[in-house]
Amino acid sequence: MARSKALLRSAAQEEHADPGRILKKANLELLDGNEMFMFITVFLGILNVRTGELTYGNAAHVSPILIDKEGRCELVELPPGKPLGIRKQGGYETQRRLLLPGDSLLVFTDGVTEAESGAKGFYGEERLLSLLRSLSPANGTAAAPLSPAPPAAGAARYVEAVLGGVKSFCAADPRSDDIAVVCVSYLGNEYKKKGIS
Amino acid sequence: MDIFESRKEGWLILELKGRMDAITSPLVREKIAFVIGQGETRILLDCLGLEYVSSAGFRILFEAAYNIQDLKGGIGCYGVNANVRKIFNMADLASEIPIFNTQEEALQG
Repeated sequence: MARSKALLRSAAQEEHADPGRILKKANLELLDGNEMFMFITVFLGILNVRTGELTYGNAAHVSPILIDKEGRCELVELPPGKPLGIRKQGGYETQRRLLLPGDSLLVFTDGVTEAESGAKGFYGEERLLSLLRSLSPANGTAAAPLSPAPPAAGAARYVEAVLGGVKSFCAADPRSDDIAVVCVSYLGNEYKKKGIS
Repeated sequence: MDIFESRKEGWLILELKGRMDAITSPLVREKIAFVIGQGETRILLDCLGLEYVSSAGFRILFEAAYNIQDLKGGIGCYGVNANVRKIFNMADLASEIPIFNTQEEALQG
């Protein structure tokens, strides 16, 4: 994992912030001496905080979820891409979409949706979406990303809600995979005007 | 995860039942490595009972596909449900293990 992160950082500096090219370069580096057939899945996104443009590429990662300021959730469709460290052949596509102020992007590993409870089965995508929707302003428990509260609180709240939801779902059952959740909220220019960075 | 073995028209058919995740995938890996070690180079995966494939699962399938390709053999699958098909496409696994709708189509290849 540490090597993968270092390779991605190094590739990012050389490939001019193009996610597809960064993934391709990191893949080639990871293949070097990978006799154990170890691989990683990656969602690589670069957010231009001035314009809200998100460029992203995918190496077999699960789709992230885009949550708008009203709390509506959408699975982000990703271009196909092999995991890094698998094979030299094949490329990685770069895609773009514009984030609006108040949008949050929740990225997570499949350990979230795969978390298991003996009695209830697997946590699953639908349960995750339902949890996130329950945090919408319409339900009175919004993360309120455009409120005067510190904006980073919105992203943190989504992460805490997901981790809490999975933990309570699994109760005493052991989890089968590791879990990572990252959330980024795009603030637009609103907070800049108010002097909040 | 259960794996059943049968044979048809020169192909070894491995019927995968259940979920291929971090816990169960090693069983599939072991089985595929074993049959390849026995000389099998034409393998069809019957996925009618395969409910889900996690990242740990598709690692095993990539590995199987490349091992078979190195031996100039063939591998394919059929009966893939919508969830699993989505994962195959997302990971670009479908380009290495062709997906057929039915066993008959797979056998005709």
